[in-house]
Amino acid sequence: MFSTVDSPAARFVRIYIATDAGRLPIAPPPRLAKIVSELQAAPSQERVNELARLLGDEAFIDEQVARRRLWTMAGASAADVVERSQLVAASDIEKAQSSEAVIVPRNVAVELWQYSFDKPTRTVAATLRFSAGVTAD
Amino acid sequence: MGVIHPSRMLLQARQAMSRWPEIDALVALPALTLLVLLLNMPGPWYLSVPLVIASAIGLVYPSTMRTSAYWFVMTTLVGTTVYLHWDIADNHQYLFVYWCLALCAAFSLPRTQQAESLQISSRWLLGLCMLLATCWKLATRNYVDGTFFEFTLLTDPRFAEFAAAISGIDLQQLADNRALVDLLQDGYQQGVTVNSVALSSVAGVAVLATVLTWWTVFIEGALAALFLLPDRRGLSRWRNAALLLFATTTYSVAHVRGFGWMLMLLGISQCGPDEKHWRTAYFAAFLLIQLYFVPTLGW
Repeated sequence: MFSTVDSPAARFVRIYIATDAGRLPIAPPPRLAKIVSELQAAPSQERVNELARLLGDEAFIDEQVARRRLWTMAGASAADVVERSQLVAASDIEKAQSSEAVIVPRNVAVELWQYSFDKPTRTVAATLRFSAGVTAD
Repeated sequence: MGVIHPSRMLLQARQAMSRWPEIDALVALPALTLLVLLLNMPGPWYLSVPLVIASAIGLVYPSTMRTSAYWFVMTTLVGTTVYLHWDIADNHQYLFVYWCLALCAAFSLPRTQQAESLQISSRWLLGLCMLLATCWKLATRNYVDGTFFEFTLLTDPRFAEFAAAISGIDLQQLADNRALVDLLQDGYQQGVTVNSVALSSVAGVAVLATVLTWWTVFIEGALAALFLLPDRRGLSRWRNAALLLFATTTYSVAHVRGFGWMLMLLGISQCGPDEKHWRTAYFAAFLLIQLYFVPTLGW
C-alpha cells in the first residue's frame, strides 16, 4: 500500500574481491543474507562497512570446485557438464579439504546501488549510494 | 414457461439470504485469523513451531481461542517475528500484530462487550490504515506523477497479465523488461556491468498507470473518510460497499492475499449486530481473494 519505486527491491549490492587473478565479482554469500537484507531495507555507510568487514573474514572457492567435490562423493561423471566459473564463499569443510582451491582475497569491495525509474525516457538507472573496502588480514 | 417478475426474484433472493446461516464474529474471527497467520507469516522456527502448536490447540479446543491469554501469546509471537525480521516484514504483517492485540483486548472484556470492542478497534484500524496509505501516496512524488505504477506495470510479474490485457503491451516485452532489471542488478556477477537500461512500453501503459494512480488515491481516501467519520444513519452501507469494492477489484490484480484477507476480517469485525448480510458478503470476498489464485479467475 505504501507504493514507491524507492523500496528495498530497488537497492542491491555488488561485491568484488581482489585476488591474484584480478578483481572478481561474487554473489552475496547466503550466510550474510540477513545483513544484505537489512542494508537494502535501511542503507547506511555503517552497514556497508560491516558487510565489507564480514566478507573480509571469508575465503572463497570456485563453485565448480565445490560441485566437483559433491560429484566425487556421489560417484558421478562430470564429462557432460558445461563449466562456468563463479566464486562462492567456501564452507569450513572446503577450507579444510581443498586448501589449494580456496582463494583468500587481498581485499573486498562492497557497493550499495539503488535504481530509479525515469518516466519520460523509461530508463532504469542505477546510482552508487555507499561503498566500502576492506583489506583482508 | 412462465416469466418470473424481477420483484419476485428480488423477494426470493432476500428470503434465501435471510435463511443463510449467520456468521458469529466472535467464533469466526479467531479461527480465520489463525488461517491468515498460518499462511501469511514468515516461517522462522521460533514462530512457525509455536504458531502451529497454538493453532492446533485452538482448533481442538475452540474455547481457548476466545481467551485474552491466547491472543496475548499470539501477539507476542507475531510481534516478535516482525521485530526480528523488520527488514523483510510486509506492512500488512504489522497490521496482523495490531489485530492480534485487538483480539487480546476484546477477549479480556465481559462477553457482552467483546463484539463492540472488536467493532471499534477494527474501524479505527481500517480508517487509520487507509488514511496513512493515502497520505503517504500523496506525499510521494514518484507516486503522484505516475512513475510508481508505470514502473510496476512494466516490471512486476504479478501485474503482467493485467498490464498486457488492458494496455496491449506484449507479454514478451514485459518479460524482457524484467530480464533487463535483473541484468542491472546481477549482471556484474557474469561480468556484465550495466548501470542503466531502457524499458520497452506502449502508450496504453502510461494511461493505465495514471488511472490506477488516481483510482487508488480516491478509493483509499474514501475508505479513510468513511471509516473515520462518526456513525451516521446509512453510513455503514457506504463503508461496506466501498471496502468490498476495494478488495474485490484490488486483489484481483495485486495478489497480496495476506492484506486482502486481513481487510476482510476487519470488515466482518466492524459490522454492527444487524449487519448479518454484510458479514456474509465479507466472508464471500475472503473466499474470492483465494479464488483469484486460480489462473483463469485472477489477472
